[in-house]
Amino acid sequence: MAYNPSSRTTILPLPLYLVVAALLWVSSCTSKDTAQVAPVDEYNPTPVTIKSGVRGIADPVIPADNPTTKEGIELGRFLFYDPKLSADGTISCASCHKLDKGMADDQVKSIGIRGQRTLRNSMAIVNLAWVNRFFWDGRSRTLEEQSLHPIQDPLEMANTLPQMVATLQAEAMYPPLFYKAFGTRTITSDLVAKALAQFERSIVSFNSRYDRYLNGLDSALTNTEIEGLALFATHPDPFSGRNGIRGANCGDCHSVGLFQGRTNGFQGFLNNGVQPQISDLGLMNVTQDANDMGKMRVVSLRNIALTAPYMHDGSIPTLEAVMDHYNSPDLFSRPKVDFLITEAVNQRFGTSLGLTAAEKAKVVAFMRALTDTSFVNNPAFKNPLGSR
Amino acid sequence: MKKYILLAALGLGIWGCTSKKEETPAPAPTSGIVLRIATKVAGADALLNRTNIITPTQDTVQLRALAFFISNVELQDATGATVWRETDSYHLAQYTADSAFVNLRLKNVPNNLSFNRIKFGIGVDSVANGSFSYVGKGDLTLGNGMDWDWATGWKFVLIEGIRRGPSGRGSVIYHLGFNRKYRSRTIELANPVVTAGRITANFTLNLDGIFSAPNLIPVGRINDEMGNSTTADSLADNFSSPQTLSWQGFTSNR
Repeated sequence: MAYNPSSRTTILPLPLYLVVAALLWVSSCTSKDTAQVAPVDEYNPTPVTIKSGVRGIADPVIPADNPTTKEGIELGRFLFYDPKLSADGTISCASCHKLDKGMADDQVKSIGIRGQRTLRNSMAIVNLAWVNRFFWDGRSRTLEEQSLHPIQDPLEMANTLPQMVATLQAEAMYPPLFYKAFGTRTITSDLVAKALAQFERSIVSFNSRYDRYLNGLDSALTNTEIEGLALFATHPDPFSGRNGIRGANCGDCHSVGLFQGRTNGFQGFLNNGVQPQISDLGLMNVTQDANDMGKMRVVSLRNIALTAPYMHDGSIPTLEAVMDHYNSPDLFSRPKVDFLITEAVNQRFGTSLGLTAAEKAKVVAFMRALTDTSFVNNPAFKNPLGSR
Repeated sequence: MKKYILLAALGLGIWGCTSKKEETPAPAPTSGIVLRIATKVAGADALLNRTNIITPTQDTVQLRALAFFISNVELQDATGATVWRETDSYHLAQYTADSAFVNLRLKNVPNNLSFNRIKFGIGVDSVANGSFSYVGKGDLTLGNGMDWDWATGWKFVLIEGIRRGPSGRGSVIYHLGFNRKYRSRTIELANPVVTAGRITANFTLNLDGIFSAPNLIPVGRINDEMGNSTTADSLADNFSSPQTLSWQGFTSNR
């Protein structure tokens, strides 16, 4: 090989031109592929698509400024389970969101830092990619925004963001994980929020017996559960036909499929009458609108059998008691209870929902069929820190 | 000479990579048609949770939720023959509290189609309404508040709000479903329209018409319709009537 500095062109013996030509042809065609094969410690995140896998459930909208990646989810999982995010290193996100409890806990109100009780029941953080407002009162628009609240809440983790960042920055394992996820070893609260949000979005549960039934396996549900589903989805109409249409009216609020409230503005926030006197204003704290007094987010009923006790205040211990609440003779007279509840009766001129004991039992049976056992055993959601 | 050979080699490399793209057939040109449905009361923009509707019975109604399906959109010529029909044509018009219109985008309308009529349904046709195989087509998605179930089908039209007035205070809930509530509309155009670029088909949804056009709905007495009653038929007629869902003409965005 010779080098001709005047022309600054590499000169090769003639036969080699054919080889070069062939190599150029191949390499220029495959350059995009080879660029993605990077050394292990390089920033090269792998995109991950969040899907339900269930026909009829649309793909969620992922924020463009925080695309979900394998590395982001993995970092988020470490952070989610790490008590170092709290002020005294005792409380992690997972302290109140336990996988075997459907990502909720079994407390009426959760226990935060230094044994303090939080103000509301722990929400089951499942299928949040399909949610448009977060917390019981809807105060966060995004998961990224939501994820930093508990860290700073004095009753929960009681940390400051600068202190949290400093703690994580000093941990040997975190800067490389942030580099893999975001291309920087400099940790910021914004990146912590993004990683936590990615992990939370990845927590997907769509493999209950109901889902298998939905996907065509008729035997996945028993006849009792199918009858419970029909009651669940039906708004009663006692004036329709000779015998009327009977229904438990659950689906008016817990929309079938996702089994949660509507995701159109604040339409998925309703007052279900659980407070005889409204002491927790809920959504009204966010909107300052008196019409929103006592409204709380209509949560998903997926894995509901695992997440007792129920309601924003944890005041109802069992699913059977939940049905009794909605069937209660005095529910309609409670303050600000939503008209989707008060307009649903099974008897002409009735003043309560009026389900029979057998009907309530069928609805409960159906709700138990929303438990996804593969979800609670999924290693992708388990603690990656072991016994640390 | 060798320089030229090297350039030729480079050229070969570039050609080798671009040839595949050249083999891909260019997509057929398509036009964009948007159905824009603006909510009005007495001619003014109407918003959820804000705008009052005065009914013929002098009740005041304020809606908090409004959603409905537009389906089976097709373009026809002057004889009524179909010149284009949208596949999986199920669009959910779902209003938010901060917007007095929704835009529904028709998919893959070919360019240079001449048409004289637009035909569509309000609701979900009986075939799709009764079959799980249609779940997931278009906007027939689960979890959007218009639930599909084997027994009940889809909610075609969802109207919820509060009322006050001579009939007292209370709620308004109309969830119109069941096959009998499906309604069809055909818009006759004054002159033929040719698809090209992006055009908007403008409709106004006059919310006061829900209670009066053409059937009087005494909202104090009939404030809750979920079933398959004749009153629900009247509501479906009102919702789809030319007075309530009125045609405003095309605008071009070219």
